[in-house]
Amino acid sequence: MSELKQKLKEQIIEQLNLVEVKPSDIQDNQPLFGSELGLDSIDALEFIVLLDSKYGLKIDDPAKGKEIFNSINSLAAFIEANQK
Amino acid sequence: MIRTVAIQKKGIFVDGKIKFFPSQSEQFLNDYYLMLEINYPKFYKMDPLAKLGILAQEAMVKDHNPFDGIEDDSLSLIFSNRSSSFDSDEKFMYSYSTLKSPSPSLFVYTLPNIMMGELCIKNKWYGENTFFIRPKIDFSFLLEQAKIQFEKGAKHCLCAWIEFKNNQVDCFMFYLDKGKNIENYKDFLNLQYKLATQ
Amino acid sequence: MKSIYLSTVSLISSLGKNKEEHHQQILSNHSGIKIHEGKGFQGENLSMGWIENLNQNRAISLLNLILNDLDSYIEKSILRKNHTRFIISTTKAEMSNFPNDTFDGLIQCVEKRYDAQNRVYVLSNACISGVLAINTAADYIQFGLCEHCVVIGIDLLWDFINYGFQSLFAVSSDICKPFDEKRNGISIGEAGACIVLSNDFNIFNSFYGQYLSGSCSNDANHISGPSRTGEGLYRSIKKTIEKTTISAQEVQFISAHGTATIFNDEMESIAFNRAELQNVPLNSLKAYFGHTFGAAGVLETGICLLSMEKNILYRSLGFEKLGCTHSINVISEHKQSEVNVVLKTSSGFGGGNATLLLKKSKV
Repeated sequence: MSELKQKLKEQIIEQLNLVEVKPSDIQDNQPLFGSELGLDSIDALEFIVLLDSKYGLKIDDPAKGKEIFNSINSLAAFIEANQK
Repeated sequence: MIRTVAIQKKGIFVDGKIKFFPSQSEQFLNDYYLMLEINYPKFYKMDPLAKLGILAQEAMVKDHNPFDGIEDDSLSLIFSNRSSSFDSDEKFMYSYSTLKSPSPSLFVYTLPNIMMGELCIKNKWYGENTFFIRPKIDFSFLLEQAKIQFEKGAKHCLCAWIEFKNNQVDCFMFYLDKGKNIENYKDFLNLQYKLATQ
Repeated sequence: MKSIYLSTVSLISSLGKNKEEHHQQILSNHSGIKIHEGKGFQGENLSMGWIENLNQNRAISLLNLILNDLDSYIEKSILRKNHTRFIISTTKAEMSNFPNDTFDGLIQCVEKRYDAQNRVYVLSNACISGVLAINTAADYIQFGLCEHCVVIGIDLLWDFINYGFQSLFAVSSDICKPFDEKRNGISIGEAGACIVLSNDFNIFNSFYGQYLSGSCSNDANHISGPSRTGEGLYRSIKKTIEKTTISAQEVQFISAHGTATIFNDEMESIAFNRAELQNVPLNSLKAYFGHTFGAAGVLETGICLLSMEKNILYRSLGFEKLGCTHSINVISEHKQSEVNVVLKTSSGFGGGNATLLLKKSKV
């Protein structure tokens, strides 16, 4: 699980071009939106692309993404629970 | 008052003088961001056109800020280029045809006027924005458009030619206060552009 | 101030090939938006307003249809003279040509036909391009740069646009429902439209209106999300109205942008309230032919002129029950009514908002 979380942080930084952010700057339980990361609605859609391309998980309704993308913890839990 | 900034192969020119030299890295736009000591992390998410817009405007305000204290709707932006959002168009196409996952954050930059939007957001400018596709940089045209904006009530204009294609940059921006006979600036602007490109 | 007149030359969309067809189809509550099989990203079906029967190079084919209309409406000697300018309003019309220059084909087509070297301008400012192009044309005439200006709005659908809006989860599963409580996104569409502006109404041989004023304003808020306060749209409406002797109370009809996304329509309802236009009858035409991007402002201004000509307020198709927090007067049935003063609005990516004001010309 902690390996997955580390990997997620790296992938998020790459996918969202967070050039000045290091993986260690993102706390596992930190809210990803509305925090100093400065993520917006387009970034939320990029999360959907990331889950699809890297983990083969599809989200059809962006509204459902809200809870999943809340934090690294919730993202990792979603991937663990749904990946075959 | 007239101010100019050029971002060209040779570096960043402010009012005709070279101020910053380019790095040899492919990330030279990001390197300029660090050289100019800009603190706006959103910069990294932008496409090259919007990055060039931000860099040019930041280079312009570095020593003396012409935008200081202007009314928030008194500035008109008139931007132009030849290839529209070529770089983002190409990347977005790659995201769906090769990577098989169309990227929303690339798609939103596939319009050339987005760079004006980014400048307005950063500076809280609510004035007019117009983007034209032109065959080449054309100061007579930009000055004609600026003149119209002044006739219509604008007090300042920010005009630009910002082209980015195949990692080649051709960027020239100028700021102009309302005044008479602005068409006479044409030769001056041509000279400033020549200085930076030849 | 010079008097500036404008008349519709060409309207081509999924709904019809000319003014009369648009009028009839709208009155019959028809939509040109249909499900097209396999047009979505992974071969899904996609509902869109697609123009049938265009030749292989669809953009040039559509442009030629528009120019044929232009030739039969305006004397060729006027079009060939230096005192006439052309503005092409488009976002991605000829992208099939990519990575070669994607605007050259359109420009050359107009240049060659009218010997118009250095008189053809391309304006590309996302979804407000059309209204902005009409405003720019009026400026050119007002400030003596030309006497007549032909505004051509043209944009076509292709994978790029389809997949892009799908990636934003912005496409409605069915025909879009502007301002309705059940709206869930846009319908994408394509169109070609042409309006001619002139300081001399004698060049027109059918209905024309008078152009009063126009302006645009940036939201300075977000590149793809509408402002939560309607700031840019409110400011643009205010500026446009204040330039004239008309008051907000005299506006009889608003042709809104109304894309049918949750946030856009909400934003518009806020802006119209701030501008004290909440009681003015209003429609969005997007459910008839979809959002036609760079062509939208020209096509929809053309329909505004039809409203004036026929004295009818067209219903806002797809609308049943208001789904915005601020009350606005959406037209739910076609209504015969004098339509003398019309406000056209548009908003788009990059935070742009452009508006214009028209009035019926006293003949």
